[in-house]
Amino acid sequence: MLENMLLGFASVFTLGNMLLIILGVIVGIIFGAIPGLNATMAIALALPLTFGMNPSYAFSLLIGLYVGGISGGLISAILIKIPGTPSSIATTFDGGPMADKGEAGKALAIGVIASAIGTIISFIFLLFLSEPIARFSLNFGPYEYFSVIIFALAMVSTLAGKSLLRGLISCIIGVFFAMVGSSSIDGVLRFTFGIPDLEGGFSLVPVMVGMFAVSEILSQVSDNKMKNAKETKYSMKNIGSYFATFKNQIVNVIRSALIGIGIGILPGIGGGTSNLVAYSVAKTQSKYSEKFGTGIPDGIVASETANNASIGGALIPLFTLGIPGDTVTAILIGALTVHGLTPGPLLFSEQSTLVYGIYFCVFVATIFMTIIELGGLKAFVKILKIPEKYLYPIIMVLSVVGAYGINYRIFDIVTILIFGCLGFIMQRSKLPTAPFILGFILGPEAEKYLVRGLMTSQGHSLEFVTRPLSGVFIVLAIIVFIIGIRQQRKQLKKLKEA
Amino acid sequence: MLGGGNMIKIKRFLFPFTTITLGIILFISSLSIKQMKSMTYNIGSAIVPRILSIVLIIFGVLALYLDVKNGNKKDESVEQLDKRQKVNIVLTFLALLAYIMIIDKLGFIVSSILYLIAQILIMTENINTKRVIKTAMISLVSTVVIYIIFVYAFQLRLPMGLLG
Repeated sequence: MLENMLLGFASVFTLGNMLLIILGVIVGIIFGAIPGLNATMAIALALPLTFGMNPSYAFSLLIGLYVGGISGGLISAILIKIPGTPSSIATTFDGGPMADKGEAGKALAIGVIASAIGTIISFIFLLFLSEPIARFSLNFGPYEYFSVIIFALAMVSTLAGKSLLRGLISCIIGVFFAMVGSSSIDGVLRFTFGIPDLEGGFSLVPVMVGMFAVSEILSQVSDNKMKNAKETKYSMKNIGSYFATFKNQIVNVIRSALIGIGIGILPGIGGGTSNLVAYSVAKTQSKYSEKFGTGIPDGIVASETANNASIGGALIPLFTLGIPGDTVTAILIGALTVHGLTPGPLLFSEQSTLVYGIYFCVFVATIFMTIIELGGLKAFVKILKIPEKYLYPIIMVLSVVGAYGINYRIFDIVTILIFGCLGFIMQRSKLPTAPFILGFILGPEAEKYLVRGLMTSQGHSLEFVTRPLSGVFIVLAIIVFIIGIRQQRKQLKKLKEA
Repeated sequence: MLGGGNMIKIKRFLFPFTTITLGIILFISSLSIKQMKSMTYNIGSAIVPRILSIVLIIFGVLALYLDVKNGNKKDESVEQLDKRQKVNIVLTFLALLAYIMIIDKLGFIVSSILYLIAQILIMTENINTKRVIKTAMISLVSTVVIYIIFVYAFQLRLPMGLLG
């Protein structure tokens, strides 16, 4: 295993890979920093570009985007108090107040360093845990895969929004959209309603791009978030002194990183959830919890360490089981498929240099991210000033380019509009989009494994529960549901008492 | 009588009703999914759609019940849109629709320039000649830059149409 790691490590250091990582990190940070754009969108748009590249280059770019994208959110979170991505929501809690106190530079530097540490810790887990987990997954049959997916969908539906029921409905609708076209089970056409264009089904990237980019444009047009954003001046002097702040943050860092990794590994949820969880845990565990929210480093450290740690965490189930750890890795599945990489133990025996190379991209991207963000912050701040009225229409055109580039079908461009409207309507009806996306991506997989499992056990569905591993995940899914229902009841009670 | 009251009720419970209707449509559609004779134990492409559509109907009914029980308070967190915002959304949608319809015929460059001009102006508050010219120039330059980067650097194809 170590030998393969070293080979992988060496393979990253080519000019092509380095340049692509740097490009990815820069563009990723931009997407992360601008509210309304995020890492998921960046990767969805970049995916078609990578089809022509060799796998190593492709993932260098994509990983760069991922790392930059998750980290970039802290820039706007601190400077304009609007999180650039959902992964940096908790960063605004203390980042904003710190900026108010004139310590924006310090907040930014701490955020960047925390992001770097979080990614690197999760990278170490990724590096050493992947092969053992992949080997363990040899025990997985269709029953286990089905149950893990159900568990993933349960987690996303419960944690994504305020209403469990709406989360589930959103998820199911996502599954149905994925079923449009010919079934992967026996090729039979489903839900095409006589329209020939629908026989090919909806492609993932146009759906993603539509749901994120287009719905965001429609939402921006109706509600200009950035309008009243006041920008804070900052100065970053003496970066060395900021490192010293971390001396009393060690416990916080490690705890937040572990939370980030754990949530990242859990299928379906990632940085968007871990930053909030890490923040609240840090607050409750702190000796001076009343200071949280007034502008202390602890809050930023917790949030940014966790959200970046989820990167490594989310990559683990992706490469070992083919199940995405979060929405970004959900799109990376597409990248894996296109380059002929099948997740699982075989990947580690046949393509180990490539896989470990990809892992080391995470490490290298982190280094570049730190340097670029600390050194080039002024440039990114300037970019934040680009008026949305120019930015969003251009993003829209880029979306069209990206969607068309998948299969060269005009229908894919139509798809963007359809799902853009759907995404916008969902936003206004308070239907969360994350369950929809995971339902769309994982639904067909779950169906495939369900059918395979049922056929193997000759129609008996009890196998899904009696096989120990499979049973465990089903039980976990049920527990998640019960917790979700309880949370909702509590919330409703609070509302009624208010 | 109850006529007016019913209309209000339907609007308030739009979401559950839509969900239930969707479930019914999907269930009916799933009934026509062909069952391949070679599939064993009746497990085919129809089973999951049928089950899920029924589940969707159940959830819709549940949502309706919960909304009725909890009084369906007006959601304050989703801001109500004023007239100008609604107009902007409709205009944006029309601009996008038009873009998609002409991109095949007029090609990427021309369509994108036209779309960009339209969309940027929709999002501009005070339109004057100077701004229109600025918008046109930005649209032109960005489209050409995007075209060059994606077609030449990344080797992607873009819709050609009449004028490319």
